[in-house]
Amino acid sequence: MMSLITISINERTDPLATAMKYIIKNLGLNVRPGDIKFIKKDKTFLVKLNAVVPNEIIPLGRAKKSIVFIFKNVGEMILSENGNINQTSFAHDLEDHIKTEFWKVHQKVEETIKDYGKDVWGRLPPFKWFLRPLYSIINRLIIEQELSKNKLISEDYWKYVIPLIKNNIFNIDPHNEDKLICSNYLKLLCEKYDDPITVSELAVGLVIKNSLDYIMNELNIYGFLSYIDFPKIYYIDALEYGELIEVSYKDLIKKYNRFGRRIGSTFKRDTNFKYMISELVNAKILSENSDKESISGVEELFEKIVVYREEILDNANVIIEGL
Amino acid sequence: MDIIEDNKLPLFNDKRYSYMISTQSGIKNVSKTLSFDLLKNSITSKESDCFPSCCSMAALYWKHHIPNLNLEINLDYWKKFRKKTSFQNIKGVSLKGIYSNLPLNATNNHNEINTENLPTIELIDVNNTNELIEAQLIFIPKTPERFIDLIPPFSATVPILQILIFDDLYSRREITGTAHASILSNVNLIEKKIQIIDPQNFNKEEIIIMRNIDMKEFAKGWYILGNSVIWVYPRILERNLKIESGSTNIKKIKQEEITKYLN
Repeated sequence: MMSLITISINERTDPLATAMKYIIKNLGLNVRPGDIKFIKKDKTFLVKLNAVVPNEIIPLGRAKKSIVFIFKNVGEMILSENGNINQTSFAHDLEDHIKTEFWKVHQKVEETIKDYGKDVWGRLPPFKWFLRPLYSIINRLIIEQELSKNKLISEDYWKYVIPLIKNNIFNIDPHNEDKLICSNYLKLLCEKYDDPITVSELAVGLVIKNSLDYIMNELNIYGFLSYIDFPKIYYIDALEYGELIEVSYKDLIKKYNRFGRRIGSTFKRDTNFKYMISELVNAKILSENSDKESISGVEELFEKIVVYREEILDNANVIIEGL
Repeated sequence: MDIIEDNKLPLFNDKRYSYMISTQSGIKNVSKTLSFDLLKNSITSKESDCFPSCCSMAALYWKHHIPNLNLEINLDYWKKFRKKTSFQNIKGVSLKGIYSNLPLNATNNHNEINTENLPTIELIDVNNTNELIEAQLIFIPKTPERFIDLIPPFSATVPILQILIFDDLYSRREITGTAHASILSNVNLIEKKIQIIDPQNFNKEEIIIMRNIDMKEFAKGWYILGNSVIWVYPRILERNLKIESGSTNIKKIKQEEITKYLN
């Protein structure tokens, strides 16, 4: 028979410790109690939640670097005088909020990649699959030279026309509001390439560059996003490291799954990743070393991105660690 | 560089801090060590997966001490668990995340890790049976007031394993870093040092090396994370232990705490 043992300790009961206990159980170790205020009226503690998010960059054969981002007020928690949790941000809301903050910091990287790839996005297969109506309408206009607005509305195509008008690819005829005509830009493309397919690819590229939010939020199309987000994850690491680096294929996929994947994004299996990477390499957005199964970037694109380094790291702690 | 505020709490030169590392006169000569086999039970952490690594080592620790616990002993199995649990989200790993990924019969209901009302049931000698014992591991977060509060879990027949959560970078350089997890291996109230099994501290053979830290240094990074500790033990031990939470049962926040946070 074993003897009965009593284990008893004194615990901290201050709001910080109480909040941290809840965070460990339910939210996640990157969440941290921030400012704490006692609200006299309700006799409650309002605990603002911060996030401390590490981005570890492990290039092949090089020293590891850790960048720690601090995002303030990503959520909040209300404690009673008795130390009970009255109300708190939900874990999934915090996850979304922190991810949004992370992407806000790196927004310029995305903008640069979208701009750099504007001539190639329209050529890549997933853009063609998921944005087929866009290609189809552009082709129709090139062939027919004018389209009826009312007809497009009745065919439920109008929502696809809006970004084309916004990007000055289609114009509304100034003499007839029901008539859509080619813009000067579209005419120039047609003269230059003499091939409706190439022209529609370039026009879609321009829409991707300028109206990605519309496509996601209004058209609810996400399927091709990994083609933008995957290189973004690589270039964020390269930018934060300060130079073009070689990253293992597996590490980058792991990081993409953690930070980069947006709702609705496709490509969960390695085989699809391989396919996507080879297309991005052909499009000269990324480069690949097939022997080592590692990925690197393209100098020209990196030079456009690295100018934002100081601005992005302004709100971060950089820790450099050796191998 | 942006250094996170310390929640406006007075820190290292105030009475609270001195209190945290002070010892009571009757037990100040205490030094307790966890019997942990580093060679057999080390799970190293190579990236941000220190917490899952510690949880894996905790499972191996208990399997080592109570062999008939129905827990996996294969290191590769636990390395896979570590990988699976890490990198799933940006908000970091929580105990809920650990539960949902523990491929053993862990408790799914996190309310079961309540610090109150743990039952004290009749005693059973677990060594008298060759049958496998239910493998549910219980993880209880605690917030010890002082270093001396780390001693009682060592008093159990098989010491309760404690995972410390602290900000390592803040401890060393007073710069905000991420939360780090390590297993408490030794508390030495005489030398005012603690020894931890840090899953990121490994040698070339990938065996974890113990790390000694001065209490004063450690307290900095520990305090800003609420002096958090997680006790890990198999459910079966609830029948042999009476676990109480001391002042936690009186949860009401003291008046002086409220005054500090007034608008």
